[in-house]
Amino acid sequence: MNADSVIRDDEHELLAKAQAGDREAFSVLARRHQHQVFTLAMRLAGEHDLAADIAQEALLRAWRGIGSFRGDARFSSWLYRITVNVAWTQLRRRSRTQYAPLEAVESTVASPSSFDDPELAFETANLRGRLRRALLRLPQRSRVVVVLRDVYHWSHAQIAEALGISVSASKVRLHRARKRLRTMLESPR
Amino acid sequence: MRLVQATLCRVCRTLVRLNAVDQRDRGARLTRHVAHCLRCQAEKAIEHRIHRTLASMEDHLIMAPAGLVAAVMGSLDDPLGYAEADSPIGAEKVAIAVAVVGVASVVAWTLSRRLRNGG
Repeated sequence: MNADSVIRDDEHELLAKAQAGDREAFSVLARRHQHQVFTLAMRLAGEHDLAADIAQEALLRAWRGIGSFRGDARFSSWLYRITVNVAWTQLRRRSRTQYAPLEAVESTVASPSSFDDPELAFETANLRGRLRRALLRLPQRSRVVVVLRDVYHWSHAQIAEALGISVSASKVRLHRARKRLRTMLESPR
Repeated sequence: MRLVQATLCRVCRTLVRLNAVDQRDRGARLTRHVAHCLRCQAEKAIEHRIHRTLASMEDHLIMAPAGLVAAVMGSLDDPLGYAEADSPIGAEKVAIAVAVVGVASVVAWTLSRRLRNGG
């Protein structure tokens, strides 16, 4: 049995307890997934306070709906779906187009770098920063599609269902958004 | 990620635009062209780098604010939930309803006045 399967078994047990109404078990699950939920909210909303609201509401909804979680998908995927629904509702409600730069508020959880070459790691970090800024300058509806498709690898069918749009609309938005991203990356800051 | 048309060289752009060319043939010609075109190869490399970097952002976690879970656990008993409690939806609906009634009243008043004047 490897470490990953231990974690998954543990999660099964925690889920079963949480579904039976055990708050402590849910609290452990929430603590375990809070950074992922917040990161997704941050990528979609681009604003710290709004992302915190979205993450809080998403976790609350997860608690209320945990009885309906059947375990066909991973718990994290289920949480992601809830987060996207909450974020999309709040973003449409607020209809904001301008956001504070992420760099001002983002503090990252240490994650192992996949690059052994420090120069490549630096270049990637630099490009990631530029991409983050460019993403923030995209219109909301385009940014959400790029984030879900290119960062979280959702299918167009999943995106269409979550956002209440057609599959072709999702494809068109992605195509336009990628073009704009590319233009923004090329243009001087 | 597919190559964005605007970033292709002139030959590739022409090939992409040629609707008359059979899809499979066009694909094969594009592949052959890119294999020999340094500009297209460079563009492709940039596109792939952007795509890889975007994909890597999923693992690049942003730390949730301290107290997030505590706030959630503290509001589990709230039957409304904080989100519904300060939801602006109710106010929005009321405002729309008032506006619709207002416009309808003005239209009705104008029509009745015209009818009276006309009759």
